[in-house]
Amino acid sequence: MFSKTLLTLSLLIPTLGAAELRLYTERHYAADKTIFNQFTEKTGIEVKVVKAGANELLARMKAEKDSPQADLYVAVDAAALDRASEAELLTKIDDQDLTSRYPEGFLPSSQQWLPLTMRARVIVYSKDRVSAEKAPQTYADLAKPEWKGQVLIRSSSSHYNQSLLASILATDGKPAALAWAGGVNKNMARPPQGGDRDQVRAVAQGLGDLAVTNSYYLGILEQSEDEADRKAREAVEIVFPNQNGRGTHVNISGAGIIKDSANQKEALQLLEYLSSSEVQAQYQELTSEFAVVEGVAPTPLQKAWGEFKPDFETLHELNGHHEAAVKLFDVVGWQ
Amino acid sequence: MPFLSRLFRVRRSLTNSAQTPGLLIGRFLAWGLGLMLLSPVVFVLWGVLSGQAGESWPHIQEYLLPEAIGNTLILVAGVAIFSLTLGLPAAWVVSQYRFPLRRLLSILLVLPLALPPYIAAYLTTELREATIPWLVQIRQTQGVESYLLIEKFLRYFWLILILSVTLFPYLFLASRAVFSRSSRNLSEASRLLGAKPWRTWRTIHLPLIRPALVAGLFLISMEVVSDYGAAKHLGINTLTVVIFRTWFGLDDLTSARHLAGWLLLTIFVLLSLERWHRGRARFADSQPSRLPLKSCSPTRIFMCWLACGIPLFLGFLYPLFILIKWQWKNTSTELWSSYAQEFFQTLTLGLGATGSCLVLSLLLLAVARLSQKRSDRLFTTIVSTAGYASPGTVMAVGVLGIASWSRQLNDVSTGELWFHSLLVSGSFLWIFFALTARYLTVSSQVIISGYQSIPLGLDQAGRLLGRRLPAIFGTIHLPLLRGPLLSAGVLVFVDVSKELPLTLLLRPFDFETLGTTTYSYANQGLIFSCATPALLLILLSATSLTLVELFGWNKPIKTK
Repeated sequence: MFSKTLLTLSLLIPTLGAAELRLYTERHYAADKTIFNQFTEKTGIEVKVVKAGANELLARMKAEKDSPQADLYVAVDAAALDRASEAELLTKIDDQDLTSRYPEGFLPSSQQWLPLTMRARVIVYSKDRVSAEKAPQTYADLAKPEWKGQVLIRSSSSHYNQSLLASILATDGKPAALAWAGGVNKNMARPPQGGDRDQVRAVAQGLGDLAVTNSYYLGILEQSEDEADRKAREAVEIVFPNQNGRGTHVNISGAGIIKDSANQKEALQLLEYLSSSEVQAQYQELTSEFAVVEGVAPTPLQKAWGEFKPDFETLHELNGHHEAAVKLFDVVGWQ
Repeated sequence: MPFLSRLFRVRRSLTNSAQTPGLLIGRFLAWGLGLMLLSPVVFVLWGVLSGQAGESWPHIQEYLLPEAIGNTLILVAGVAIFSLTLGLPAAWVVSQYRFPLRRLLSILLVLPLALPPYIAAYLTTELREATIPWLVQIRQTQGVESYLLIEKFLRYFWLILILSVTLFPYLFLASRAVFSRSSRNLSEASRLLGAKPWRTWRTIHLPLIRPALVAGLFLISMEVVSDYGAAKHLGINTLTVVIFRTWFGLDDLTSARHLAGWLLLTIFVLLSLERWHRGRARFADSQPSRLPLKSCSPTRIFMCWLACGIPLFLGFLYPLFILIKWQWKNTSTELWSSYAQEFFQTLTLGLGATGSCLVLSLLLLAVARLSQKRSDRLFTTIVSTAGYASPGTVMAVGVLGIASWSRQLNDVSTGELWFHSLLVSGSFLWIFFALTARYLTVSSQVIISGYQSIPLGLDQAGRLLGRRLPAIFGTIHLPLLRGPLLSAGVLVFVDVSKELPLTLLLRPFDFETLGTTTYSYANQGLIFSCATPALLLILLSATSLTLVELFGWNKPIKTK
């Protein structure tokens, strides 16, 4: 019982102390900690976090709607943020100065969350075994029979693949999406396993010629302490797919302010800080993700990948096609 | 639970003393707290009882269930066979033969429990990558089809191996306890009467060890069924993986609950079948054998070392070696000392949950023993099995629901502020509550086996000498249960330190345990950075396990 009393006390103390901000976040990068520490130094506002998956956090937010514990919800998928908004858990961000930092059409119509960083879903191919002319230029190319046994891509339980298929559903419709998922599944070099980096490593090891990965993982591999990782990155060339069509599929990590939470003002302050060009540039440096506000140049590492056209169109339709995408994966047997 | 049935199958010689005030209060408390602990499980089961399934249910039935059921069965069977192969010979030789390092090996063989399966899965990365050149060769020479087949087979093999080497100690512990007690005395008698070794095995050891095997295999199967990290890492869809997919992918918590409920019901049915089949069979003697251990020839010594060395190497020494190697390679600036907070928070969580598990198990079991009522026994059995058989994350959602409900009862405008802050989700109250509901099984199992070795005659003697029931509990039961209590505490502590899904979802702000930190690094693919927190976690668990090996378990009752 003594421990419980002690814990009750320890729970009460922070509420009496200095200003603080509480986050539910799906982002688990060391960079975030660095940036939050800077924010605390600058403003004196402490940032406290609980890290878990988006849907788990969503369940917690729904259960505590009567007394919200967190001020901000951070997720790495536009669909997850839209789901929070649909469940009426977020509040509208009404700050002209803040919203005007973003390119046209980038913000959700609900204005209930803001993008923080952007990632592109790219194709990489083996420099040794595939020539630049033969390399696939669209996602649709991945499903062509000529790549049988050559495609490395992670499990369909990954958000990244779910949102890629959702974007295909949004642009090309269900029959095309079904055919695509079936085709890619038939072309796999192995049943899906591991994360995006493991797919790139497997290409370097010769298990297949093509892999699908999020762009920033290539940055992480390039800057890895492990020599094998750096070599894996050197062994592949990057393609931004669909440049002649809708553009490369992108997703964002973003944040929304939780309705009726205790520190609304401070939450807005943090969002202002995170979307400042200074911190946006820092995100690019630390995680190789792309900045989302206007006027921030890519890092040299990102420039070496080449310029690309992102597909902003489907970003806000991902949530609507999310469930259908997951079901299509099951239908074609993509594990 | 197998042990429970034996403990309480005693005649009602004490029934007439059942209604003393002390016992009434005890029963009231036991039922009240027990029902509270059952509530998250009822939340899981409600999905089945109410016949409610989400809209994705037909989709799940058609595309996901058949494969997941098959995979889960393959894994359970495979892990059971592997664990038997690893655990049984080791338990046999340490309890039958005298050979150099016997005592040390016997302690070390428990330590694989300190290694969480999801960490073990990451630790095989290098080994699995080493097979890739070989696979590439197969692909070039034999074609894609045979390559895919071999690759698939290999993945099952890895997962079964990973789960077996981390879980076999449950079986080792259970069978060692039997082998070193009555089974030795009886086998001696059987041999004196001229039975051949095989016949002795078949007629003496096997029937005697059956309850222990069932108990050990039950715990192992539960861990296999509820494993998420390792199965997902190797890309094998088990039922638990499907439950997660239903919730996270299809966004259908109702169907996830429905599936979890069916799983829970199946486990209950299987357990009841086993108990029914065993019937009234039970073994009575729990005194350790006083026969000397058999001495060994050099060849036999070598065989004994092999029987202990292989499981020890696979389950503890090799993983430790890899972690130390990674620690060596890890150039990140985070030092040992920077994990002080995680270490302390793991300790807080572990000790808190252990404390409440022990107190509640004792309360439930003591009340059931002293009251000798059938209803109490049944209730205790249910409460102390249900949590362990439920998937952690789904249970966590149940706990969140209960937290929200309790806040509605305690209106913040009129209620006490401190009380309300205790009820908010993310307060320590709920995380302890959830962990207790989940791990009560573990502590109850061990304490029950301790209770079994206290003869009922002692209780009766106490009554005859005019002691009240609480005094019997305090002066007879508690002192005799010291060893089992320590063991139960350590097992719960080790389990809680490894636990992931409940802790991830219910923890307070800025709360990281060594387990969650390791998981978070592994999730980012920073496998070298995993080394420090994982080593600390293993060190912490291994230390407490060693402690219990030296001082705990069920020390013999000294009667003069």
